[in-house]
Amino acid sequence: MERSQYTGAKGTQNRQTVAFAILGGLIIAAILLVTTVWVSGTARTGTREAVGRISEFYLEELAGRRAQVVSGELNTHFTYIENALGILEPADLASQESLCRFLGRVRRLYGVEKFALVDADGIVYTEHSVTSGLSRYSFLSEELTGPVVRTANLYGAKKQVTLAMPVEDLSFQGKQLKVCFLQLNIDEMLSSLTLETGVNETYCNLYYRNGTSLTNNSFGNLMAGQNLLTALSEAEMANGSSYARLTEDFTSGRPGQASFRYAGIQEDLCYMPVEGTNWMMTILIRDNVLGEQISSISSGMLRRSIIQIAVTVAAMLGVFAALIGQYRRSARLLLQQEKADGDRIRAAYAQIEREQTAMDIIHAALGSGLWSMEFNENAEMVSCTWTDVFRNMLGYESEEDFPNRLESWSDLLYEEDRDRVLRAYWDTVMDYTGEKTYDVEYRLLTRHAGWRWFHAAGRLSRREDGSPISFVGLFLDVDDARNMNEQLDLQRLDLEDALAAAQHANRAKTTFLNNMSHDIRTPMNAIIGFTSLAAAHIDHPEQVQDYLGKITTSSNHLLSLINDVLDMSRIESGKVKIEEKETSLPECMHDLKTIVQADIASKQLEFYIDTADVVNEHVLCDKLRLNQILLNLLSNAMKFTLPGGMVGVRIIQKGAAADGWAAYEFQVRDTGIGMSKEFQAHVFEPFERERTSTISGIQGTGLGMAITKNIVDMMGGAISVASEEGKGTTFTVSLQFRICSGPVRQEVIPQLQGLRALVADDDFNTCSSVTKMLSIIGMRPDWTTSGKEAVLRTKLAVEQTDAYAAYIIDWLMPDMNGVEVVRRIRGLIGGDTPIIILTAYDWADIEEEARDAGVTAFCSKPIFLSELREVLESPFAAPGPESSAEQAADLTGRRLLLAEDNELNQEIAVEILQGAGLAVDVVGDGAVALEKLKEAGPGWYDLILMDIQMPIMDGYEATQQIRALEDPRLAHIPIIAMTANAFDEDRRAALEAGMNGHIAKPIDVPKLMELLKELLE
Amino acid sequence: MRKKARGASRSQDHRSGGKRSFRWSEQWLRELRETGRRTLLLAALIGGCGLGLSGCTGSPGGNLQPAEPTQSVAVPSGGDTASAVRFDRELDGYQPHKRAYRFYFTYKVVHPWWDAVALGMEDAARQYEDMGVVIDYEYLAPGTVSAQDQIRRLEDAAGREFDVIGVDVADVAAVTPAINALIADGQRVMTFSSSDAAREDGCTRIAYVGNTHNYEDGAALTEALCEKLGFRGKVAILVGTEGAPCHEDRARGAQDVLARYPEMELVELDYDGDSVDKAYRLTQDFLERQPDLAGIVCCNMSNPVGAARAVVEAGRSDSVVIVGMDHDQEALRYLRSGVIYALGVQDCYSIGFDTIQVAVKIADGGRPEEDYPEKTEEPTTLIYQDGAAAMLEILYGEIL
Repeated sequence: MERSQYTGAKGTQNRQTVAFAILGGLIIAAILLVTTVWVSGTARTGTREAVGRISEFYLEELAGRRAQVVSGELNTHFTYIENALGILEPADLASQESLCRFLGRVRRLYGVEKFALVDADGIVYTEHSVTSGLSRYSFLSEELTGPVVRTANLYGAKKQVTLAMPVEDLSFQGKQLKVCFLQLNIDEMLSSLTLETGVNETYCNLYYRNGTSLTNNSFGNLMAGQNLLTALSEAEMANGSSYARLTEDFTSGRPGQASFRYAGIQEDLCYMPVEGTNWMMTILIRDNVLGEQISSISSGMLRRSIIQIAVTVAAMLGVFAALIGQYRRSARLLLQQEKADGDRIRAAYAQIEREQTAMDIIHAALGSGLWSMEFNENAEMVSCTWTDVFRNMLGYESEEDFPNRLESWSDLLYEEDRDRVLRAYWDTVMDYTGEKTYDVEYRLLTRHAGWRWFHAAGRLSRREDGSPISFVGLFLDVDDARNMNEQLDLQRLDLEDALAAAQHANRAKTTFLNNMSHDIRTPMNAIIGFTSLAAAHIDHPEQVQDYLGKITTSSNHLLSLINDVLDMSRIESGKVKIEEKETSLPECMHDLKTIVQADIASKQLEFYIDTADVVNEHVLCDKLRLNQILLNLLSNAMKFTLPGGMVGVRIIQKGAAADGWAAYEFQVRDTGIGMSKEFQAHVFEPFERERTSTISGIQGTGLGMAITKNIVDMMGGAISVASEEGKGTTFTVSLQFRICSGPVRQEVIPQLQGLRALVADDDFNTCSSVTKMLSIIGMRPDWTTSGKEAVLRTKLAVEQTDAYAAYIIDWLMPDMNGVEVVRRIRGLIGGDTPIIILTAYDWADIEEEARDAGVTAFCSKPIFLSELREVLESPFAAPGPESSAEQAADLTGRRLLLAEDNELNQEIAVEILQGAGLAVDVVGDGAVALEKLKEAGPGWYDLILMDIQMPIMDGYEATQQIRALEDPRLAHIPIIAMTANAFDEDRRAALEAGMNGHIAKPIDVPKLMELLKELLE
Repeated sequence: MRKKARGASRSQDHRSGGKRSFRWSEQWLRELRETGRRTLLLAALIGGCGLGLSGCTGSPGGNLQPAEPTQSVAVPSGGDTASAVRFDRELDGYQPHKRAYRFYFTYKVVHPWWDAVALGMEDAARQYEDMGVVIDYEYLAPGTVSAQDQIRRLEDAAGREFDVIGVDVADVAAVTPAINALIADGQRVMTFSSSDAAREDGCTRIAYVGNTHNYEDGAALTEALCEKLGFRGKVAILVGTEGAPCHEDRARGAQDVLARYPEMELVELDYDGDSVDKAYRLTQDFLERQPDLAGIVCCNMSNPVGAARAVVEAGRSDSVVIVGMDHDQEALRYLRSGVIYALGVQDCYSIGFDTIQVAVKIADGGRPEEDYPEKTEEPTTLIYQDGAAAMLEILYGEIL
C-alpha cells in the first residue's frame, strides 16, 4: 500500500514537472516570436527606404560613369584620327597604293572597322577600296568645321558609329583631302557596358535625344530600335516623375531620373547625356527587383527566426526529458552492473580452468614440456619444476630419475652447446631491464634416443626492481623438423645447382646452334661459291685448280665439324667404346707428329715434341682414341697460337702406378692467346667457346675439348688445364695403361759403356731426356743448348783426348743450325763417329745436304729409349737411304663393280677409280649387283664396292647373299663397304656382314687406293 | 502576301538561272492554281495565250505572255520579308587561285541604291580577307548618269591592269562597243547590278550579276496596280534614266501590262534622270494635268519618293495608287503609311556580294556556265503595307 502511494505521488510529481516545462517553453517561444515579427517588419521598411535612396545614387553614378566611358571612347578615337593625320607623310600620298597601305596600317593599329580619307569629290579611300561615298556618308555633303559623330544607316540591322574630322592642307593626286573618318561597331563599343543580369533586371542603352535608339539592343520591355520617348508616353509615371520633364531633359540633354510603370512593371530610369554627342546614356532597373529582394530577405529572416525559436524550445524540452531519463537509467544500470560483475568473475574462473585444461591438452599433443623456476629477491633460484611431459620427452618417467634441479637438465647438454645455452639462460635471468628473452636451440642427451635437438623458450616475471620472480618456459623436440630442414636445404641446393647447370647448358646449346649455323654456312658458302666460280671459269684450268683447292679446304673443314658434332653425339649416347689393343707409344707419337707436321709448317709455328722417363713403350690402350685426344689438344693449340709461336707435346712416365700398369702424363702446351680463368672452369663443357667464331675468326664447334674430356674420362684418366691470357696454355692428360710387354731394355750397351756422348738441343727438356737415356745405356753424356757450344765442347774433348763417341744434335737451334754444327764437328773429329740429327720436322728436303755435311743418321722426335738404343746399337754404319715414296700401286686393268644408288656418288667414284686405271661397272642396287655378279661369272670382277643403304636390297643383304653363293670364286670376291655410315659400329657391321673393308664417305682417295691395293694384291 | 517577280520566263534565264529560276516558277504556278482558278479563264480570254510564266520566251520587249500571274493575287500582303534582302551571305566555298585581286567597278550614278550593293561587295571582300585573300577594288560612279563618262572610266581602267572590270551599264547602245573593245583588247569585263548589256544586244561581256528580270518587275508592279484599281483608270509612268536598260525594261513591262487591260489608260510617261526632285516635280505636273489620275508606276528608286511627296502634298494619297521600285527608306515609310501601295525590293546586297565572287572566278580564268552562271540572278520581292515595318527594321533597324 505504501509502495503504491509512493508510486502514485511520484507519478503526479513527474507529470507536473513535464507540464511546467512545456508551458515555460511555449511562453518563451511566444515572446520570441512576437519580438521577431516586429523587428523584421521595421527592418524591412527601413531597408527598403535605405536601398531606394542608395539605388538612386547608385543608378546616377552608374549612368554617369558609363556616359563618361562612352564619351572617353569617342574622344580616344578622335585622338586616333588626329594621330594618324599627324604621322601621314608625303610618301604615303605619293600614290593610291601607298595611301591605301597607310590607311590599312592605321586601321590595324587602332583596331577599327574602317579608316578612311575622303577627297573633295567624295571619293572614299580605305585600305582595300576606293568608292564613291557621297550618298553613303551624310556628313560628306556637309561643311565640317570640327569633329562629328554619326551613326550610319547600314543595312542588316548593323549600326555603326562613324567619327569624322575635317582635314586641312592635305591633297592627294591634285584633289584636296577634306575628311578623315573611322568606323566603329556600336555593339562592340557597348559590349563592356551592359548591365544585364541573368534574369534581365537591369538594362543599359544609348538613345538620341529624340528617343531613337542608337543600338539594336532591347531595353527592358522596349523592343530593339523602339523609340524610348514614344514608348514612355504610354507609361504610368510615379509620384515625383513626369513624362514632360523626361522629354524636356532628353531634348535639352540634362541628366535625370524617372520612375514609372510600363507594361505592368514598376521601373526606375536614369539618364545621362554623353558629352560631345546628342546621345543619352540610359540605365533601367526594375523596381520589383529591389522590393522582391528586400521582401525575400525579410521573409527569409522572419522564417529563419521562427524556425530558430521552435528549435530552441524543442531543444530545451528535449534536454529536460533527457536528463530525467538519464537519471533513471543510471540507477538501473548500477544494479545491473553489480549483478553482471558477479557473473563475470564466476565466468572468468571457469574460463581460466578451461584454458588450463586446454593448455595441458595442447602441451601433450604438441609434445612440449613446461618448466618453471622461482627466484628470491637476490635472484637466487628457490625452486625448479620439470613437468612430467618434459621428463617423458627426455626418456625419464619420475622425479627420482630426473629430479627438480637445474643440473638434471644442464648436465645433459651437448658439449658444444652448453656454454651458449647456459649463458643465454643466466643472461636472461640476470637482465634486470627485462629486455632479453630466452629462446635457444640445443642438443640434449636423451635416455633412449641419443642426442636430439630441442627448442626452449621462456619468459620471466620480475619485481619492480627488475629482480626475477618466476621463469616459465616451454621445451619442444625439434630434432625431426631440423633434420628435415637440413635435408630440404641440401635438396634445394642440389636443385639450384641442377637448374643453374641446365640453364647454362641451354645457353651453351643456343650459342652452339648460333655458332654452328655460322660455322657450317661459312665453308658451305665457300664450297658453293667456288663451285660456281669454277663452273664459270671452266676454261681456265689454273683458276679452276685454285678454286678446287679452296673447295677441298672448306670441305675438309666442314667434314671435321660434322665429325666433331657426331662424335659428341655418340659419346653422349654411350655408343663410343674404348677398345684396348697393344699400342706402341713411340709409333703413336710419331704418327701424331706426322699428322700435324703440315699444319705446323703452314702456320709457321715452332714445334717441340719429346719424352721424359718413358720406360714402358708398349701398352694396352685404344690407340685411336689416344691419338684423338692428343690431336684435339694439338689442333686446339695450333688454332689459338699465332704464327711464330710455339706448340709442344711431351710424354712423361710417372712412377706412381700399380703393378702391371704404367702412368703417363701427356702435356700439350702452346704460347697462344690463352684463356681467362672464368673460361677455364667451363673449357671442358660441351658447346663452350670463349669467343664466338664470328668474333675471334677462329672456327670450331666448341666440342673438341668436351670430346677430349669424355674420352679421357672413358679411359679412366684425368685432364687439366693451366692457362694465362696472352701467354699460353698447357693441357695435361694423365692416363694409366696396362703394360703389355716389359720395359724397354735398361741394360748398358757394352760397346758404349763409359764413352762420352754430346747432346745439343736448344730445348732443355730434350737435352735432359736424351741425357738420361744415354746414361741408362752406360754412356757419359754431356749436353748443351747451343750449337756453337757443341762445336767448342767437341774441340775441347778432342784436345783432351776424351772425344765424344756419339753426337746427338738438334736440327734447328737458334744460334747455329744442326747441319752447320755437324759440318764443323765433322771437321774436328773426322768421319767415323756417329752424329745423329734429332728433329721434329720432316728432314727429306735437307737429307742430302746433311749427309754431305757428315750426318750419320736421322732420328725423329720424340726419341724414345728403344729408338736411341736401336740407333746406337747399330754398327754405327750409316743406314741406307730410306724409300722416300712408296711405289704407286698399279691397279690398271682391274675391274670393279660399284653398287651405289646415288648418281652423284656414282659419278665421283667412277671418276676416282677410272683415274686410277680401273674399269668400273655401275649398278644402282644390291639386288642388281648380285645378279650382275652372277651373270658375269667368276673372274670378271676383281672386287665390289658396296654402298650400304640402297632402295631394294641393302649392302649387308647383298653381301650376305654373295657370300652364300655356291660358286666359291664368286662367294669370296673382295667386297668393300663404301658408305656414309662412318662409325665404328658401322665398320663392325660391315665386317660382320662379310665384307673385307670399309671406306667412309666422303671418300678419302689415298685410303681407298691403299685398301684396294691391299685387297687386290 | 509576298510575291516574287521573276524573270524565269526567258530562254536565256534557263541557261543562266538554272534550277533556282525553274523552281521558283513552279512555286508561282502552284500559288496561281490554288488561289485564282476562277481568273484563269478570264486571263486566257484577254491574253489569248495559255498560262504559265515559265513558258514565256523571247526578249523582254514584247513577248510577255498575257496571262500574268499577278492577276491571281487576291489579297496582297507584306508577309515574310526576311529573305527579301539576305545579309547573312557566306562565300560559296570556291578556293581562289591567287592571294590578291584588283577589280574596278563603275555604276550609273552615286545613289543610295548602289550603297547597298557596295555593302555586299565590302562584306564579300572582308570574308575573302579572312581566308587570306586580299580583294582591292574601286567602286566609282559619276554624280549624274552619263554613258560617255562611263566609257571614259572603262577606258581609263583598261590601262591600270585590273584583274576584272565590272560595269553597271548606263546605256546599252553607247557602252556596248566600249565593252567589246576592251574584251577584244584582252580585258576581262563583266556587267553587274541593275543593267546588263546582254549577248543578244551584241555585247561580248563575260558574265552578269544582278537583276535579270526588270521587264517582269515592271510588269508585276503594274499588274498589282491594275488589280488594286479594279483594272480601270488612268496611269502615269515615271522612268529613271533614259537608255538605262533596267529602267527602260521596267517601263516596257508596265506599258505591256496596261495595254492588256482595255480600261486601263496610260496618260503620262517621263524620265527623272534618277533625281528625287525631278520625280517630285514631274509628279506635280502629272497631278495637275490629270485630275483623275488613278495610279503611278515608278520604275526606279528615286521615282516613288518624289511621286509620294507630291501626292501627299497635293492631298491625293487616297485617290492615287503608287507602285514603285526599290527600298529607299523614305519610300518604305510611305509604304508603311499607305501612301505607296507596293514596292519591288531588289536584293542589292546579294548583287554586290555575288559580283565579287564571280569577279574572282573570272580573274582565275573560269569559264561562264562551267565555273559560274553566265547570268547570276538576284531576286526582287514585292512588299506591301503590312510588310513595310519589317522591311524598315531589317534594312535600317527602324522601329516606331
